[in-house]
Amino acid sequence: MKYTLGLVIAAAVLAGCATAPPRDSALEDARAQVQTLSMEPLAQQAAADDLRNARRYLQEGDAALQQHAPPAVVDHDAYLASRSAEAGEARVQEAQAKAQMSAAQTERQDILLHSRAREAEIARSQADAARERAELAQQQAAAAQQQADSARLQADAAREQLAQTQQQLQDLQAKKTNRGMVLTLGDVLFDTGKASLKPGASSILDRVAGFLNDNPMVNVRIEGYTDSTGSADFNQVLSQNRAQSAAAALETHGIAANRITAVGRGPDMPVATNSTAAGRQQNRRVEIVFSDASGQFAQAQPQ
Amino acid sequence: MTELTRAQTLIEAADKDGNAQRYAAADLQRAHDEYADATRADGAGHYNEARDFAQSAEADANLATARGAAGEAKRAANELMQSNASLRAESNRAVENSVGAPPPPAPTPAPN
Repeated sequence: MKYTLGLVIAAAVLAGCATAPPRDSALEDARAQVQTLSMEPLAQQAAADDLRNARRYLQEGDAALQQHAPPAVVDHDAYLASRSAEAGEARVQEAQAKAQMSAAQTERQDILLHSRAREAEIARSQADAARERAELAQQQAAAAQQQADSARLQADAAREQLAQTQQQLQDLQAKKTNRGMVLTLGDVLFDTGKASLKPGASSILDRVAGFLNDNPMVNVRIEGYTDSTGSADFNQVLSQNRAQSAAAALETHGIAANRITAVGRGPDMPVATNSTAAGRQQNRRVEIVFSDASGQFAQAQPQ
Repeated sequence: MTELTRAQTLIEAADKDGNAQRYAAADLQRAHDEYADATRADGAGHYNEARDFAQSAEADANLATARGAAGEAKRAANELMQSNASLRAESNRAVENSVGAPPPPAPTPAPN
């Protein structure tokens, strides 16, 4: 039994020695290269010829080795297999580069498309902004036009108001002077030496008050004058009191006190001679000076 | 001899191509040398030796051609990638000048 087992082991060892293939390092290196190439996903597609040639040279090398051919013969096959594998590797790289080229071309198209889309978007935005600016300008122009129209209407109204005011003053028989429009009231308003208004004064002062109510921007300065009869002090006080009486009468008609100034000028600035009765009557007077429509009086002094 | 003829054809094609010379000059030179050796051996009547040299020349010419094509393909791909990078940078500058525009597509990886 022991003898039989020994024979089996010896036969197995001999069989193993008989089937072990001879090896050549150059051929094994080439085989590894071919193996690496065959693992490349693109090898079958891009390097089929090189791979086929490399495998054929490997087979020839194996056969030569098997037949105990000289090492130079085996090495030659290994060299050819190796170079074929390297050529196949280069063709795989070429295919990879071409694939990347193709991807880059697609990417370029994407970039260009994206860029054009963005340019269009920017152009749209700019057009929108320009349109908004144009609309704004149009609105501003319309507003300006409206303001101009409004100003023109106001100017027209002011002109009309001025004309109306002047007409009203003319109706009051006010006269145009370098002090502005002036209404002269004779001494019929007062008794001689008195400052209280006579009943007949009411009518004319009503009309003046009516005018002032119609023209709320117009102010008045009431100037009292006397003739030269009597003392200067008396005349000054009398003229002042008469002016104030007229002012008070206007206030009772609802004219605000701040629109009225009362001044006594005594016998100053006579409008006629004081040597005759008729002249003195003319000098005893009250003058109502009207401001312009903005409340301003002319700068000229009374003559 | 068939091997000599094939080697010669491949070497001439590689020479003509230009890319082999540019990207695989050493391989191409080696093919030339091997072809010269083959011719010499053939002339001397050493036909087996001539056949082996011719086969080597053919393999090296084939390799030079493949490396030339790969080199040129890589160059072209790289050039396009760089051009794309410039285009993308230009596009990004335009994005910075505009508001709310989405960024351009991501770049593809460069070839090895």
